[in-house]
Amino acid sequence: MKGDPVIDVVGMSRRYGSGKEAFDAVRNLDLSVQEGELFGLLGTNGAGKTSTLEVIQGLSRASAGTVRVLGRDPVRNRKQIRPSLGIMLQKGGLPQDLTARESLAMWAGTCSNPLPVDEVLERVDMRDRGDTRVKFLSGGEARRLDLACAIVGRPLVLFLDEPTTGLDPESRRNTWQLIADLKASGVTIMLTTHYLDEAESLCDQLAIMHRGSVVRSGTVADVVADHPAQIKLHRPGLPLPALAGAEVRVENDLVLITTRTVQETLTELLLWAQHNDVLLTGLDARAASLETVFLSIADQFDHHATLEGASA
Amino acid sequence: MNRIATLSRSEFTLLGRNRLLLFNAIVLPLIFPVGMLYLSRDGGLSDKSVSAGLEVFALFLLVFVVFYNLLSVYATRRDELVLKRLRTGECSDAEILAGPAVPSWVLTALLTVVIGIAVMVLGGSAPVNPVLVLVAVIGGAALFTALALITSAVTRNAEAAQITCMPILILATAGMSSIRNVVPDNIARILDFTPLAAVVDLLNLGWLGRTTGELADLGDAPGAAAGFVDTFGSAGQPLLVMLAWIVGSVLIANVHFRWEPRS
Repeated sequence: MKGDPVIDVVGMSRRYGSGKEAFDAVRNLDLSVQEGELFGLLGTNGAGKTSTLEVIQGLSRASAGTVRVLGRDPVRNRKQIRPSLGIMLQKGGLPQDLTARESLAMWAGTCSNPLPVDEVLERVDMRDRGDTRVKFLSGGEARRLDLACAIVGRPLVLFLDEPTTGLDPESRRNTWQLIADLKASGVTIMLTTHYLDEAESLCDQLAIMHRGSVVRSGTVADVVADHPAQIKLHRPGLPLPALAGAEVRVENDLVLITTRTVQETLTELLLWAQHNDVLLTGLDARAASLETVFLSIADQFDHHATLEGASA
Repeated sequence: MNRIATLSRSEFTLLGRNRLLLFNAIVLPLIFPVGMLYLSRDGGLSDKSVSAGLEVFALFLLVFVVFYNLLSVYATRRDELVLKRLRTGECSDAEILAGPAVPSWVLTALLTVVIGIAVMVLGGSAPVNPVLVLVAVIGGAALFTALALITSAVTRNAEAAQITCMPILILATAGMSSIRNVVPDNIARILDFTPLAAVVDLLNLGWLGRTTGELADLGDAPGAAAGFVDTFGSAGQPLLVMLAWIVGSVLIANVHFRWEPRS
């Protein structure tokens, strides 16, 4: 049994400008996030992720559609829902000449029910950097301080806009652990990221946006399941046999085979090679991953867009 | 209220770390008027000397401590994306803007007390109508805060503030009585409607019981100054001028204030 979604967006558009200059950053977008879920919003640069987040957070108004966060309108009921939200913006926003601890204390002071500042610094591994001015923090440290600000108010709903950009691998692991802990404690989280491995390992549900719309959504398994596996090899001396259910493409010296039945296709291919005494070099077979899905979406849609553009 | 206290505490810390701003905010508004008052002692202080000292004080206080300081603060906080971040939190817009202004307002109050004591210690009279003096200082601080809000809309950062402050600097200076007293009468009457003119007129009425015009014509045998009650009568016009500037500036700022840097 599912309760009401914590975030519920129906038919939302976000238009900038007006008249001929008008530009729809987000078009007719639907999404919903259940309580305690970790939802990933992915997409290329300019896909409309940040515009979508801004509308859901109540920072800007939707041009069309309805948006509900915790059952309320994020713009009209801002006062009621803000104390329950934690928002990590893409970039900074702390006074450069305050120390890390002072700036976190300032932010905590604006929250209704903040956690102790030192405890939160500890959680993001910034305790020993507490007395450093914000302007002297490294990119990764600044990012962790931003995360500290987002969680200090004990949010029920947490928005993380590219939380691990600029982090070294170790800090990224720590941040992942922190996000997993928050999720385990029941916080609903919406995250954007450019790192697909991050999305793959953290998100329960995700949506891939492209040019203002959601083009794929579901669990990682759902999103990947629709997609064929890919086999690559160097072009052998003999022409390949017909492979049932597979699509074969030759690009220069490479053969690319896409198939939904990777085991059968691979068996067929290997038996053929054995019978004909052919050595297959550069053989590489992989199941669809979020990355292959993501890249094929970008390719496919841009290809369509180019065709539309050419025929217009 | 707690949120404003938190924001202003941070702003006090930041002010303390900026030596130049601190000097501008504390030393500058005192050194000229106190120096003038000290040099014009003549077995006491004449009303004209007190008026001149208060006027220079009001100019430095409102232009540097309030206007210029807040202009740089708003521009810098916007540039640092602090304003944008604060808007994602629980603060109301008014709290976000009031918080950083508190240090300037507190300094305004402290410096006014200091200059008041200096006037009386050096032999000047006590204020005839302290209520009007308070209105002049508080209203003046509100007015120049609102002007800083408007000006910050066209100010990218603290460096740009050195240029964008000019129009208000000129507007403020134009309201000084030393200028109003030498330009032709019809121009002087127009200058009466400028922000600093309203503040100065209220200060003169409140402290000395005389209008700025009377003080200029004051001969060797001055007539009696107005008493506490009578001063309110002449305060109507400068009060309205002040109010109009505050309301107008807030309305403009409400539409044009920017929370994020131009991208």
